[in-house]
Amino acid sequence: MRTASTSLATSVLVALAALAASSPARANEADAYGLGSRAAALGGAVAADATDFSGNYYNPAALVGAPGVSLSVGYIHVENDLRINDRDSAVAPAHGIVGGLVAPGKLFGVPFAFGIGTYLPDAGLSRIKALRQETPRWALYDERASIVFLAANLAVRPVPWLDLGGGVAFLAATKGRFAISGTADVLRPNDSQLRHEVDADLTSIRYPQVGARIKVGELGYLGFVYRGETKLKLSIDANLSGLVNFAGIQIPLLYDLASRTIDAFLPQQIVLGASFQRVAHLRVNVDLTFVNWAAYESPTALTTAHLALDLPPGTTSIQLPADPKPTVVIPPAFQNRFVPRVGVEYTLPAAGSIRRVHGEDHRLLEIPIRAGYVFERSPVPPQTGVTNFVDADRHTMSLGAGVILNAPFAELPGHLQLDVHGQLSVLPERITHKDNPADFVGDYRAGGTMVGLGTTLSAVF
Amino acid sequence: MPSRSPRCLLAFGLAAIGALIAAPAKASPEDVLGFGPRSIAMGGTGVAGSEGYESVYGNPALLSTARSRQLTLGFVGAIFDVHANEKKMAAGPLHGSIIGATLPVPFGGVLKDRVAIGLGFFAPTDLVVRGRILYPEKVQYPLVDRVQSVAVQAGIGIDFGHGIRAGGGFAALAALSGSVLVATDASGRIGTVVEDTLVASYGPIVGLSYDIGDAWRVGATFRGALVGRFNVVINVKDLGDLTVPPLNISGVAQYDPWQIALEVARVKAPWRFAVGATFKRWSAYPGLSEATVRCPTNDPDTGQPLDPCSALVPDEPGYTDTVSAHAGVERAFKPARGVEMRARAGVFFEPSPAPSQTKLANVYDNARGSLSTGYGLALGDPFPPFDLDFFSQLQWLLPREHVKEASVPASNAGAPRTSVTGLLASFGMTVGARF
Repeated sequence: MRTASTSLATSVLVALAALAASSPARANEADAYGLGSRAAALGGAVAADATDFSGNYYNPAALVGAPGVSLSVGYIHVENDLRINDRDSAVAPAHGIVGGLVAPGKLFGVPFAFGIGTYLPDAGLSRIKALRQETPRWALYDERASIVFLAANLAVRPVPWLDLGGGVAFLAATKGRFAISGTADVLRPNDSQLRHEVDADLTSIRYPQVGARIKVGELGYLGFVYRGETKLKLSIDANLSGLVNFAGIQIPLLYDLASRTIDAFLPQQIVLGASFQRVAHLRVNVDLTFVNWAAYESPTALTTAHLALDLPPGTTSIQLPADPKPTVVIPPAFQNRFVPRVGVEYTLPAAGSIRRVHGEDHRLLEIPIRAGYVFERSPVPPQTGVTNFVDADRHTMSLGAGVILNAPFAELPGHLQLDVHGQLSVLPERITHKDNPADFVGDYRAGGTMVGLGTTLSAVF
Repeated sequence: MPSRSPRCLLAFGLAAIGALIAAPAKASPEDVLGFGPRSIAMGGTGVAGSEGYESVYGNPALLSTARSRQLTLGFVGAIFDVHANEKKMAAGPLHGSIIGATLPVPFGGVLKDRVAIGLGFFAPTDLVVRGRILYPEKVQYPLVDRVQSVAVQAGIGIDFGHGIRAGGGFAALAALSGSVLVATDASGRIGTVVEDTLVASYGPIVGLSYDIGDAWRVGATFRGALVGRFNVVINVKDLGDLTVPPLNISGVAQYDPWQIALEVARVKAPWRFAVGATFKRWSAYPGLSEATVRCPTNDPDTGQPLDPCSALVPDEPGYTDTVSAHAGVERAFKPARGVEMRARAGVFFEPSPAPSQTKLANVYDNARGSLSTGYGLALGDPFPPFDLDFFSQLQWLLPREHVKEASVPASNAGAPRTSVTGLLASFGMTVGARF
């Protein structure tokens, strides 16, 4: 039977251990839901056609194709209705501000551009929920879009048919040491003479992305993108040192804990894209992305802990909890995947007089209409053992439209563009059968839908 | 200066500044060292005389003086040599990168050459922010940690004509917030649910300037408080008869007080100089650590008032407001067509807001006197459009003695008295390209 004093100590340290083991999300909003309304409406199939701020994610090289300085800001909201055995898994919605800028120019007579793109989640820069590997979780979506995306890129056009670009994106993780000391009063908890100290660092992680875009005559463009892998190594130590006051008996207590975790895994990706622009006002885009999910590393924390009590005479009946058994991490064995994306955009020259904008003739009002589709086959193998990384194939359909005002007033010689998009993802039900009939979680069915809406306003000079 | 539709400009400017202020300015490295090689070399001035991306911190209004797109990259390093009773204190070096950008917005009509955006980043090599909240009796020098933080700043400047400029922006800092629920799970073991969130803390930066003729300018900048707070609350429930109060692992790891800076500058070549002062509201500083156990005022179950409890409460830090003084000078030379060289120097004095450590705490701070120098090279046609800037800065931590009260035990690390002094040396360079 565990005593109150040891329970308190263990509780606090388990809490600290859990905090130490907590880990950031495993992907970002741009990857899951798209960066900017135009790109999202096209199913993200813009590796060869992202000349706005979204090029900071989709293809840095395309930034040099921007017609002028552009500033963009927008918002996206995605509701997740993901279920296990018909029960809502409470996967949090994703919502936040998207935006960025592109500044093209010339350096040494060579076209050059600088860009910044970002997604800032409303609920914080990253949200963390630490779970054991046995606990069912939507591994790829639970906190997938709750992580900040911030990237800065440069692009050049060394020859008229070739754009090259690259930059870095940023993440942040937590590591450090937490300690509580003093005397815990079991009978009058609020009189506990406890204090704490923290020695923690939020560390920065940078990962690369590079791209190329080739102009193929009048047909359009080909795009190539590489996004680097990143993961965060978390190292946390916790310590509780002090006394437990139990009915006047002062029991010295010491608890040490160490936790080592690797998480926030973003797989490296290689994208091949094409944008057919041969027909006036029409763009047909196709992307194929190789995602190196096989390199996925388990986010399970490796934890060691030790509790020691210096028991006074007469308290020999107190039983100490045993040190926790070492965690045996089951390799996740995710599988590599190819993700196809298709997007179509048609721009209606709707109304108004002809204006000369960015060296081309446009009507005052233009209305682009867009549609896109993505299929993502789940990289997660059947969860027949003790792990429960829940996932299912994902079909995403998107629609979008926009309003473009070309040279609407003297102060804006370029154009003003407002885009909106809607997105529906369907995850057909997937059934998991456990090898062990006595498995604590048991067999389950998992599936659901995601609905996303967003808008982006851009001013291009 | 032309006077084009001043009402339109005013409305646009206020809207733009308001939009930035709405998303609530400043981060610690630039408060300690300054921001940008020109500003640092000129003694931390810049409220009336900053140029380029450095204006995001100095005075966002002056972003509107930018006429070309510019991207700047560079690095900054700093080393500390702090001694307590002639014993060297642990203080790691600072090294990080600078990214700066200015982007004149190419409006037409009445807004032509009126509006510019600026971005300024400083990122330590491997840190976003350091959260070190140690027990106060431990010998520590928080200034060393204050520089270990990312500085993210953005701003917009608008030229209203008639020599009047205004600007606004923000600075951002990362902080940590979260909760841990500890409870008995279905198997009878203690289980946990952890949720914590990396959050951004914002502070506004607002600036005004007024040109007096073509040679002089006065400027004023307000920078809001910027607080990097760690706050993780541990709740323990369902453990039989045992009641554990919420445990708050919280405190303020990074803090810059709100401040107002005033400056007058001569901005016409070949001699440029600036003199200014900055008021800092340090008396609002809440201190590093917060109480681990907080006394509830009402019973959570019955709502009835509770008797006061005797949980530990950290001592007030007792900081006081300060006024720092800055001065800098720059001499420009044009030895050849397309070549401008600038030699710079500056000084500043920053009083310490921290009280003498006469009790148990040993959280040290010193007044600082700084001497800095720098050099800038700006190339133009017929040369490539590049800027090159260097700076070096030496801050002297003026000797300070802390004498403990008689009640402080001899085992205290600072007893019976501690003399603290040292040096902070920083250096850096940037390369900028106009395109």
